[in-house]
Amino acid sequence: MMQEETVLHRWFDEVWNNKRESAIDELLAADSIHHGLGGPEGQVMRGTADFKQFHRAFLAAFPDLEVTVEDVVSDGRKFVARCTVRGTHTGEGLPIAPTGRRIEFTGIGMCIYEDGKFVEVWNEYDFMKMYSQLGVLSLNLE
Amino acid sequence: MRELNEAIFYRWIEEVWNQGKEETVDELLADQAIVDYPYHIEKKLIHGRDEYKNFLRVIRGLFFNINIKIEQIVADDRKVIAFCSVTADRRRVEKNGGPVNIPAKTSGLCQMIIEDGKIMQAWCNIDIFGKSELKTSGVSG
Repeated sequence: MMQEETVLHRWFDEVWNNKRESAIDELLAADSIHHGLGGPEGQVMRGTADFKQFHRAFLAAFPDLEVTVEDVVSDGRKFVARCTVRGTHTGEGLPIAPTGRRIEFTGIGMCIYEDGKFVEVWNEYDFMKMYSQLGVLSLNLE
Repeated sequence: MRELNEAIFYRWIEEVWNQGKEETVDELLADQAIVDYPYHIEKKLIHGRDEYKNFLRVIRGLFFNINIKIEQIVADDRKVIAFCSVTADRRRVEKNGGPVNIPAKTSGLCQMIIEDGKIMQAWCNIDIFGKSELKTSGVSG
């Protein structure tokens, strides 16, 4: 496994599964750019401070959050992880009150890793499914 | 091999999704292919060409002027993943009124496993409704 792929696993293990906020500073560039996490307007999130705010809110909503890395792909400069996210909505942190419901959804993140830190990340997680599982949205195309 | 896999991905997006050519599905998708595409609240996998073509018709019936552009792509000898931007018009029938076309803009990441020139498995994370559905539902996180 390439060093960068190991770092990708470390990111999900330490930042999300072990919920260690200090790992964000260790792995994320201070001026990093995050696409796909900034809410329905699609705003770009910048830097570790913005990411930490998102991290705290999401873990507050899902204190038992667990991310499983299903696959990693790399071309030497860009790295991609396909993940499954699981948790229970027992806390504040989302725009809706805790529902006690279980969530399970998938997502893919593509990142550029330079000089030992992630500098730009594109995220596409299935938040539509998450909100559907929480009972906020009804999705049915059939 | 990496370049060939990238070329298949580009062709799939352009011909299948931007142009709606079902014959390209027959050409590039393995008949035993499995596609995981989050379009239903329940987890439903798409199996094979016929189910995929049916799915394509459903989506192209809901959205018009679909234009998918590959912004970033990563490939190795077996897997391809691309980050894409998507624009389309969504047709919605208003209460007490006729259909209206609503421009939608979103993005997505798709992964394919390609063997011998055929797509064997794919995972796509694209918000096909665009972010506007969340906004109108009062969800802003």
